[in-house]
Amino acid sequence: MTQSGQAPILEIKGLRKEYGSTVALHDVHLTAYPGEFTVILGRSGAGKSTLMRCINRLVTPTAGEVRFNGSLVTENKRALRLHRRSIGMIFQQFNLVKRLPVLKNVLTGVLGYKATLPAVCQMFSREEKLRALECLDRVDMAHKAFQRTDTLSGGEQQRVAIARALNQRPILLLADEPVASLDPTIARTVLSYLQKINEEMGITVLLNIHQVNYAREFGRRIIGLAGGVITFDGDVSSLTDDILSSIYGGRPEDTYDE
Amino acid sequence: MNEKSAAAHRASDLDYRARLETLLDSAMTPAQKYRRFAIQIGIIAVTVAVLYITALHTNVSIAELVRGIPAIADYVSRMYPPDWGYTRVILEPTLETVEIAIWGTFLGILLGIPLGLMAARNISPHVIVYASARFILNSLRGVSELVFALIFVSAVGLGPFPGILALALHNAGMLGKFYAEAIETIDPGPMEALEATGASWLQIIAFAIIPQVIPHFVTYNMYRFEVSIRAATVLGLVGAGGVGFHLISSIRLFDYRETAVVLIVIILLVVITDYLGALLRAKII
Ligand SMILES: Nc1ncnc2c1ncn2[C@@H]1O[C@H](COP(=O)(O)OP(=O)(O)O)[C@@H](O)[C@H]1O
Ligand SMILES: [Mg+2]
Repeated sequence: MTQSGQAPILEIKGLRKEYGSTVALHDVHLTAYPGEFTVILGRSGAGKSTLMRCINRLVTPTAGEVRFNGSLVTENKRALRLHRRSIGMIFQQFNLVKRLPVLKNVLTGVLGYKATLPAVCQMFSREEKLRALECLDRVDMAHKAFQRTDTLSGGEQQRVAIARALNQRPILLLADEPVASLDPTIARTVLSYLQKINEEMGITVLLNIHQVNYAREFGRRIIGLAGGVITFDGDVSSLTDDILSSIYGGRPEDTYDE
Repeated sequence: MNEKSAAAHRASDLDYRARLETLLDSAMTPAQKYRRFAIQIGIIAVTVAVLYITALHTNVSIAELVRGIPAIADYVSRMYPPDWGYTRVILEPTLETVEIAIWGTFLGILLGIPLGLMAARNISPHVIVYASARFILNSLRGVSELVFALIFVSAVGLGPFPGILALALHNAGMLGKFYAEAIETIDPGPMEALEATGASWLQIIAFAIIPQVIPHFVTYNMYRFEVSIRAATVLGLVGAGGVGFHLISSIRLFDYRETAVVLIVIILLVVITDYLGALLRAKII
């Protein structure tokens, strides 16, 4: 779904990542446009997480370049902070601070915009709190704002994590297997919130996933990753069984979740 | 944001904003807010008051300290140059100090492990066991190694052995408490999983608890060994062996240059222990 005429939000060229002798990514090229909902599909170990982490530099690539919103992502601390705050990330294990109230977790989303000192003293303005509540409301979690986070179920925690990412005011959302530890019904709910955010707020979403059925249901553009190489890049409607076996190297049925 | 259907979500929508405000204000009633504020002010006031009053009583005074600087500088300058010949004299007592610390720590660990297991709330077999273990640990910790040393010197006579016993008891009190706290903060998931397989108490400890607390265990033990080296250097003061006797006598006899050598050797010991400890920790953790 290339929306020609628009500048790409993400341009990855010749990306390579080695961990010692393991090559996690070989020469990856990838371009994404604003508003896209793209699924990166691949079996466990294919390099999905590594690819995603190269985009916000939680992982330093061995070679190649990543351009986000027109400018090169580098090690420069100030520039990196600016990049990172416009890229929200959602993790498989939620990565919330479980002992904190839900609202505090969501408030941490604005840290990239705040000076260090007031943030370390945990001072947030009423305006910031209202914004955090609004983000929670987008995933229908506002009513749990003042509970301790570890009292929530897994699906609810992941929705809080989405709210935290939204509070960053991101233009790109990276979701790294956000539903891998949730059961299918809850997983669909969480994925549909991502879909809604993409459609209603126009935030570009990149979703890592290993289950074909979710990719078919939620993805518009699918990128198949196998052994660190992109083996497919196209519309979900052209995702045939042949292509699936090129991604999975076996019977794709094995990777259906239900 | 290019919203299509989510008009209700816009913060500029007054109704919506009012609803969010109501929700935010419902988190705490004004009374609760004032109470929290009052408690915070109270804590700060009490802290400042305690510090101020105790400073008056103990003559904490920056002016005194500043006035004392020349005397301190004079003391230090008399230590120079250190009397290196004295090294030969203190070599053997220094070795004895290390030996006291090794045995004092080792016995402390042996005694601390069962006490720590019994004093950890989440795995203690019974509340009575828990309470007794806590009480024993507190008593052991409450008595300084120097006091223990005095008692043991009069019981078993002069020499390194009473020093070892004194360190062992105090270390057991410290380590037992550390172990108990480390065990209380572990992830209960694996414990539950093993319990569900029908594993016994000791099996659960062996497979679910020990692997989780090993890094803390090593760190605490190394730390206590360091402290024991330092503590063993003053045990000589009460006749419980080691290099402390030479430290005290050189200070008493105003042999500044000998004092300097003893201090340098002690600092070296602590630095070497710290270095070895860091190596060990890097390997294990
Ligand atoms: N920190 C790391 N150190 C060494 N190897 C790693 C590291 N992270 C990932 N790898 C390896 O890189 C490959 C890709 O991993 P990853 O990106 O996590 O795949 P995926 O997210 O698709 O499961 C795997 O072979 C994995 O073992
Ligand atoms: Mg992964």
